[in-house]
Amino acid sequence: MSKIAYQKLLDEAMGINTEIARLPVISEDIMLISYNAEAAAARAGDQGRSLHVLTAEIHQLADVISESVHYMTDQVMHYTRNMAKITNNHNRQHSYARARALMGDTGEADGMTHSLVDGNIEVIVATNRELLGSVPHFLATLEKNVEEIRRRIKLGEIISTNVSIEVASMMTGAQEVKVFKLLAEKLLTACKEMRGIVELCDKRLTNIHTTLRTVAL
Amino acid sequence: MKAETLYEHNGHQWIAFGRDPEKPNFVIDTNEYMVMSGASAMIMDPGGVEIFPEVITAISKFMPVSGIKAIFGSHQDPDILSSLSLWLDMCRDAKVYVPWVWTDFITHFGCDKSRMIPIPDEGMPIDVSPSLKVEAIPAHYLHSSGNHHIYDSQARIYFSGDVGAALVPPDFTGMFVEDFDKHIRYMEGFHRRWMPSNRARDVWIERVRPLKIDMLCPQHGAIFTGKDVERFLDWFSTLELGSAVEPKEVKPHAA
Repeated sequence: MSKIAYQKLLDEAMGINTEIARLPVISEDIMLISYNAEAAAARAGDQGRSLHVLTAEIHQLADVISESVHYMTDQVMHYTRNMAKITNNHNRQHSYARARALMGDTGEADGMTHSLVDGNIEVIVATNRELLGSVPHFLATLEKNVEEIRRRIKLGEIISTNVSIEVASMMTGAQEVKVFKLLAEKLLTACKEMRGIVELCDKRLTNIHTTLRTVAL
Repeated sequence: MKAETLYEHNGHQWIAFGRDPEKPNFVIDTNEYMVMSGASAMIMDPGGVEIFPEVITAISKFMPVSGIKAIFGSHQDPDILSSLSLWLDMCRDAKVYVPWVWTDFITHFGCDKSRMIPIPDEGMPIDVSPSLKVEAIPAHYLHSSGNHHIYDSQARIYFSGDVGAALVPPDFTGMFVEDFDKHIRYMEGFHRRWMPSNRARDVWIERVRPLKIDMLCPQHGAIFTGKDVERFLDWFSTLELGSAVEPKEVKPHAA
């Protein structure tokens, strides 16, 4: 595998890391929305009862997203570390291979040194093969997490719609209605933002797949 | 890469490596040294990762690298030791001797700490083989805050790390100083900039002058031989160190 391919695999993972680093801020926003919704539902009294359920769902949504992000960050970190090791090993392999070529040209180095260099190259190649072998598992886990977040986004969008419907039937004061409408809008915006992030992660995951396919050919 | 035998007596040998015409021009020129005694050897400041293939190839012409039992790093700089992890995978029995203050820094080059032998501030003897002991001599603040040199009293060779270093032009192909006065132009700027302490220099000169030194071997530039060793010490003793830049005149970029 070429140095460029290794670099590409590392760059894409770091790109995913940058994208998902934006998610905790959004999940905190959602958590804040849930607190505000809780307070507004309490103010609405009996009429806000049905909103209590939706508020709890928003809260849970924020928790689950935060948990998924945490897990994904760990996964990407682990992968990035492996890719950095692979790149470093590749450079080491290059150094040994250059030394071996130089020694071969001069023909003056002893056989023991030759075999040590060859042995080190073999170890590096085997290590890199093993590290690369873990990539499909990483991709599968990450894709599962991205899918989970996508499902949660969908749920957030449904909750937002439900809040809007509930608010429309509320007979309470204009202030509570305004607050709930605003919260529903905010939740929808947060979902939209997360959808954008997930799409970017998807693109990068596809790029990793493509790079792996290219080097396997 | 050039290899120059500096000393040879009964299987005890000093070899200097350097002046590689193939060296990429984006890395500073360095000299590497090896002292051999029978089937064992110690390499000194083996260099950066960029020149590892050339250095190991040059060394392997003299002995199997499995015979390298010690790797000495005068200090922590990348041009000294960034190839360390590559060397350690080649020299499975080798121990790494480095100033104690740098051990936890040098591990960032990818080196197993259990293979390191921290050199205390006062220096220590290092066994190259059962019949050859060399001495790690303190040279702190010249230029690094934890810095040692190597003295071999049998060969009367002193490996001086960055002391005596010179930034020679690409057409300078010799391994030795041939005209001391002309050579000053290549080393003056280096010492004024990289060497920060007159006091440390004075202590070091006092420590080194009584030693019997036939060759003073720096990590950059050319080797001083014979009377040039004394000339160098005289010249160095009067140089104003830490004077290449006037700190007051350096205006921070943000200012």
